[in-house]
Amino acid sequence: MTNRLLSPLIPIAAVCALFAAAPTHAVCPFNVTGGATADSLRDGVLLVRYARGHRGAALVAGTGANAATVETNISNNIDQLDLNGNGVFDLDDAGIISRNVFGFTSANWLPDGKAGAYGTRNTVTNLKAYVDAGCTPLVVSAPTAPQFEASRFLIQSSFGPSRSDIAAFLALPGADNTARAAQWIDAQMTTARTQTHFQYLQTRKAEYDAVAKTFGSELSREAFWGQALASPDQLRQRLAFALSEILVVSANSNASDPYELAAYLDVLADNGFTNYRDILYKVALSPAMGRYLSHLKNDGGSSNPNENFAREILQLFSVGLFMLGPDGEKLTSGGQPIPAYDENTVKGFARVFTGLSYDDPYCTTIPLASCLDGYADRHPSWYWSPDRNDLGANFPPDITGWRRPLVMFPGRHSALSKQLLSYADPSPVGTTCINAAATGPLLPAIVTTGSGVTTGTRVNATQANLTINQAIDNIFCHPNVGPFIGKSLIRFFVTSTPSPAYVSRVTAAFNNTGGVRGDMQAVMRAILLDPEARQSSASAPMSFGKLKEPMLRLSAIFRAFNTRASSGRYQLHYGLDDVESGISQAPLSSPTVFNYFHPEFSPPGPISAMSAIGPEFEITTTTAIAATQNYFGNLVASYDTGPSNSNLFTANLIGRYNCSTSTLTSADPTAAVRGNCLLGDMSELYALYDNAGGLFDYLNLVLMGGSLNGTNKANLVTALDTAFAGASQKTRPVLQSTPPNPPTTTQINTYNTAVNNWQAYKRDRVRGALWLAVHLPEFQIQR
Amino acid sequence: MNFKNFKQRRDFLKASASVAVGGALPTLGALANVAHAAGGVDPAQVGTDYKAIVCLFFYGGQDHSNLLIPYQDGNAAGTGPAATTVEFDRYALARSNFSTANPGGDPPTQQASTGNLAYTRTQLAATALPATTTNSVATPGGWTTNTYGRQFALHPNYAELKAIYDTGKLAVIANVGPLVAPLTRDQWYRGTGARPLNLYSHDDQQKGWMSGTANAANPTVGIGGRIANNPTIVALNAGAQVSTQISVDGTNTFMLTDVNPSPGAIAYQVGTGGIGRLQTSTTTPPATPTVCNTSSSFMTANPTSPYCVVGGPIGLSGGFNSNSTLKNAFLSRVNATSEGSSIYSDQWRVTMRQSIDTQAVIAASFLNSPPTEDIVGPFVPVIGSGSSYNYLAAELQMVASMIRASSQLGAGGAPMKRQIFFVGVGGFDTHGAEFWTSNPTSNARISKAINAFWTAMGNVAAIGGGTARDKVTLFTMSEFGRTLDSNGAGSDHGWGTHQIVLGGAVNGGKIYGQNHNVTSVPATLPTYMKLDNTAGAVPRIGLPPSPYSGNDRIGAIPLNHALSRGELLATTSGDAVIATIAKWFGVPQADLTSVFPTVAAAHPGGFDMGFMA
Repeated sequence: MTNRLLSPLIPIAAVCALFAAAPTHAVCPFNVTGGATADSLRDGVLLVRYARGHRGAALVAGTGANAATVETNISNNIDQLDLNGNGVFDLDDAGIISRNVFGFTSANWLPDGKAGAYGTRNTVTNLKAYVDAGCTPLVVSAPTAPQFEASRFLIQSSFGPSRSDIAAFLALPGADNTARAAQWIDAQMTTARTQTHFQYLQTRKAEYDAVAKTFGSELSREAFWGQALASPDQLRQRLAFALSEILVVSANSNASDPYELAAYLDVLADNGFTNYRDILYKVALSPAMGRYLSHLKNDGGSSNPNENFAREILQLFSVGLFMLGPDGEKLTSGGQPIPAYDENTVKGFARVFTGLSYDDPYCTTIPLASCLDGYADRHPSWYWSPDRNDLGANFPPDITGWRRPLVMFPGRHSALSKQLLSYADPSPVGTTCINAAATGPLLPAIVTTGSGVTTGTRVNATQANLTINQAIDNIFCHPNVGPFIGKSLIRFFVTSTPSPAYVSRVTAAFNNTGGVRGDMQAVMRAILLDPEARQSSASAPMSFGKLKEPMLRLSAIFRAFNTRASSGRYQLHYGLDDVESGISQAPLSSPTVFNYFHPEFSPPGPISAMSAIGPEFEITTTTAIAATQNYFGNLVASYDTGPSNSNLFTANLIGRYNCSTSTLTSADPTAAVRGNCLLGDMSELYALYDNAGGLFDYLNLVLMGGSLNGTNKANLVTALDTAFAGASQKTRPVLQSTPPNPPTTTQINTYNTAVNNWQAYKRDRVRGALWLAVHLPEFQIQR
Repeated sequence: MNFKNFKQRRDFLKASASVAVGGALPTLGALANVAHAAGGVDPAQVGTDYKAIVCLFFYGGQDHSNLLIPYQDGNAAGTGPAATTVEFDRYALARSNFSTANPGGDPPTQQASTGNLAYTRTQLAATALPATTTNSVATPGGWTTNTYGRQFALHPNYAELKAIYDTGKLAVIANVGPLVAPLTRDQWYRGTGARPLNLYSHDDQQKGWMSGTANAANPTVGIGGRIANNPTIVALNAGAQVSTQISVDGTNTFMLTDVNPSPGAIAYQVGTGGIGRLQTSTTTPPATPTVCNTSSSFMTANPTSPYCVVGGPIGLSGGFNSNSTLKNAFLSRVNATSEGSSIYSDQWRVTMRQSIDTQAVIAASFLNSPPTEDIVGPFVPVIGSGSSYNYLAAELQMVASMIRASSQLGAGGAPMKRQIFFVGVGGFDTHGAEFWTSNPTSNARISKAINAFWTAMGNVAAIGGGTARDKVTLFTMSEFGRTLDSNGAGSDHGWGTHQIVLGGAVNGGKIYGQNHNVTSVPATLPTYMKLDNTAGAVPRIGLPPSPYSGNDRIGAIPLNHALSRGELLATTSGDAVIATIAKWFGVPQADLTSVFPTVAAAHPGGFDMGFMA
């Protein structure tokens, strides 16, 4: 901080003993005396004196150095010597350099953990990187057309690009960006997960247990954000997010246990790149879905079992209501759409999904007589007994039970015949379809042969599990699944209103890629590499593109500046989905199984006038649209100096978000708060502070995928330069260098004030540009 | 699925909790000061020619067997409780999960694990509605207002609604659902006859109800949208400063407008916000009420005034309070007409523009004449906080505030003439444990919320006499009813259900609905199709007559289902209910069939149900 200019010198004498360990720095211009090597004691003292305004004889007194040489060496390299990047060379920089040349390990460069105010390098890590790279001042070059293209692709396929993400993409081998995109997708599909969400919760649980605290569903959202914002397997995470909006489970229900939700998100993230048949099966048997759509403990003994899951797995997860062509358009008969199934089919599937309950280790590891019946199966009634209902409420005794698929309690599986989907597909590919064809659309009543201890004749486990598999195959091989799921995924990744031809190409990839049906890797390649997705945004029709979901806009802001929390905790816990004070959306928190918005929603106005679709507009109400912008605006443009701010601008101009919501420990609140802050690196924006055109080019690159045109940019430049003309504070202040020497306290105070004004000017220009950027249609809309 | 649970509004709750803990209510004098400070005529009166309709959607499917519950039957043969409760006993048995442990009568346990969905007669006694004429049969095909001596109870937690029913201002409409043509059970089981698309699907039946086009997939225009865009309604609201349609529950099909509608018809969505309230009786209201911080940190600083209006409309921040240059740069993009690059961009800008413009006028009207004790008072005791937060009450409080503000929102600040509102509440998809865990609580909140709204309307005067009660009609929708029988834990999706209509112009205290299958019952029909006129099984409402097949009997007792699981085959279209209200609202008779495209086909004999004064 500049006001530390008046603070005591660091105790140089105390560290003289380390002199011998002083490393050499060939590039960083620390050797201000021009000697053979940097002289820690002498150069350090000279730099500190210079920073305090000493010049000439006062500068070199007692050092034997030549004042003119020293002053020239410092003033010629003043930008490199600005170690913390706050724009001026001051005592903070001199102190760090002294510690550095004295050989302090970098961990000790910031003894109080703080760099100077307004510094863009305020951690030892980025300070050391700067020194190791030879103190090269940051130069941000203007974005290129390939960079804009890369950004646009990464906006479609990740939670948002930063400049470093774009550079990494362009470093991939390939003749053009489409080839690089293919490379990128391949690499993403083989990128392992950093950690499961479930493991993340277990880690947190150990910490919470240690201080006798507990957590709720908010930790599942924290787990989500950690991977969405910071993990390298971006495409996997994006796909899991999209799947979580198709195969909806929501904490906004009775299924709100954090482990349950984390395990469910793991099912989607672990299996997203497998086969859609596997995904459907694992979702059907997941405890979270079992609870959410209440087929858990669905009683096949009832003549009419619960139809909840049966209906939605058909309507929302696979087939949809009407018969579709491969292009995703409804088929018609006599001008009317053709229903894909009837109520009998729903009732049939309701009977299919019966007899499933938790895989309770209590019943398998402790073979109580009551747990087993004559077939060594799980007891058909044990888990259903009303007097054991407390186990249902408190399940599971061991939290790992949330990770295990539901298991069959065959005595509660319906033995009745089951109407499945009836359809004709001329050539369904894949062994599961052969099975499905052999099964036909009606599963006959099960001939019960066994007898249980308490229930009499019943279905056995083999029969019941076969039924489930046959029913899943029957769904999976329905010709609607490819266009239904394909079109839905296109809408989440690329455009709300895809052409029928685009959908057809994705359907073809779903139906048969190398003899396999439902290959999700093939589907994702088909979606992201399709000519329609990769066409030039400038020439694409007005109906191409989409309104980005609020969560993806939020993540884009964070990721554009490589925002990270050093603690690894991303505590975007509460209120995000609040319509009036949040962004109307949060992970795994949909109000209903129909997701936050319907895939076919067409808002009245320019979209409906072109018979186009805009699903995300369903939550973009006249209230939400303002609240969401306020949230973004607050995030990027308000600032304060306290620890509890929720914005990207603090006094030190390093993006910092959400620092105060640690719920875990108060033992070291300062450290905990600091570790939980989401810190963004705004240094590149600050390097452009005086160049409005450069600022908007940069923001166009990382936030808008290059969609900001010249006219609109020019108007923004004018606005920013008008709003922050600031002639009096525009010039970098210079510390008094004429007599008296050294400067008086008054002179130093005047200088400090000038520096603060200048820093505020820079800050306002940067945050003003950011505020405008996140309010632009080009940021909300992806082209 | 847990359909549209009560939404948590944590940030807001803190604010509302702080304003709710005030001491005694302010004196009338203090309130008058506020009104006079606002200046001019008392703006708290709705206009002479003012009318509003409020659509309340019960998301998830209102279990009709849980809204209108058989209590006893004056037609029953014989004497004594056993005879008069035969219909109740059938209800109790059908809802008992057919357990041999529950052979009828009052069920022994009511919890999710038994799947028993029946209330006891003791529980129902307080909400039992009076019976009407005994032992008579109305003209077939008519809109019966006669329960033939049968007596129904409302849900036990609808005590407040029962009280309003008793005053004659609340009616129940029985057996309502999307309907595109009359359909008999015979046709249903033969697979003939025109029927709504995608029955039993939440999404589609919600859209069917809200659009008045149950025969169209994915409708893009709603009933509210058509009414608001009707030339007569457009003319009445010419020059109004806010849209005719205001939703306090987000986007919905009901309010969707066709392409290129009258600008005033395009729905505005407001939040529940919170309405300010004087905190203590000793507080002297400021001459100029202030706007509380509405969680937009840029709009205004949080004032220290003890009285402030927390507006539902969320204003867009200026980003920098003092920096109009940046804000204007943003507004210039928002206000531009089509930019020719992206329909999504254009749509977003149009929405943003409406948000900014409408917020400004509503916030100004709230400040000019703050909705205070007349509106807030009835709601404060019922809104609650935390897990007991009554979200519907908060929504209806905003509706009441908007109705009150209508007096300033017409052309040139004159009273507005027509308003359409939408509110919604979830939690009705009671497939499982919700039936006993959350649904009873939810129903209690709904009853209290509607009652608070009714009270507030009584506190708002109307120019020329009377109160806003006379000018407002509230009606409910729900996508479908549910199965009568239990799935072992709760009830599944059905079709027809019962709805509620409330208002000063409603000829209430009655149950309306059209008889089932009565118009043509040839003698040659199989037994299950015949009208069951025997005492104790009189049809018409709630539980239609006679089983349709021998399979649906438990022992010797016929289940009295409409369809196979006791879900109701709708006999009155929802369109007829709302068309009756729309006519009162001012939609010309000649336009009703274009506002409700299928209502004439669904009701060849006419669709004015006659419950509006």
